[in-house]
Amino acid sequence: METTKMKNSIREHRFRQGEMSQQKLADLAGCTRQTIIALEQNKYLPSLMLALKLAHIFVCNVEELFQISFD
Amino acid sequence: MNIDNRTSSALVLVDWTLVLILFSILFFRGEGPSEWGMDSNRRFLSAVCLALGYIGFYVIQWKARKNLKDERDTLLTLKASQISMVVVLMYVFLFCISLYTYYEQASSMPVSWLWFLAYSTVCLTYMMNSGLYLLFDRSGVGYGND
Repeated sequence: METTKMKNSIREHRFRQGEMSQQKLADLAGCTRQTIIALEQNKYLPSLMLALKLAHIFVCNVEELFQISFD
Repeated sequence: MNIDNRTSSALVLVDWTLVLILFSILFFRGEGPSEWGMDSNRRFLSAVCLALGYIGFYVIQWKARKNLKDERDTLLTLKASQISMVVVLMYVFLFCISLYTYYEQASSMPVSWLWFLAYSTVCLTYMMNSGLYLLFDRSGVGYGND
């Protein structure tokens, strides 16, 4: 099974939560704003801990936040 | 005034690039390596350059001390350090081999080259670390789409 594409919907969730700012999300997740920017631009693969924290903040499952597709 | 990780890396890169340029000017002016060893003033000025480089470096670190270092910063730093180590290793290796090849026929070589190797290795290490941090910060460190 080979990974073909991985993406996330952090930006969409952020806007759904009253247009939460990247800095606010970073403060809540305990990371830097640069990390949130990199995540939204699909330039960084987060640790399981950060992914779970983000899912907890948005009150959703990790799978709703991060999507992966296979060959 | 606090500076972010990206700015501090850029400043460190500039800091050590300037030190290397200044040292290279001091080292290569005039007769170059053969003259440099005899000139205590130039050796002293080189040491001052290195000291200023370190002072600048620690001032930058002090200004960035309050920055939050998260998992991405750790990963960027780790990747930058890994590649820097290999590059610096190759630099020292190639430098030594080049010196040997160049002076193989002569019975001796100017010992000043060792000073150059020492100074340039310090500068190159910091330059590579901060430069690669900036590069990875800009290009990203992968999203599983490799």
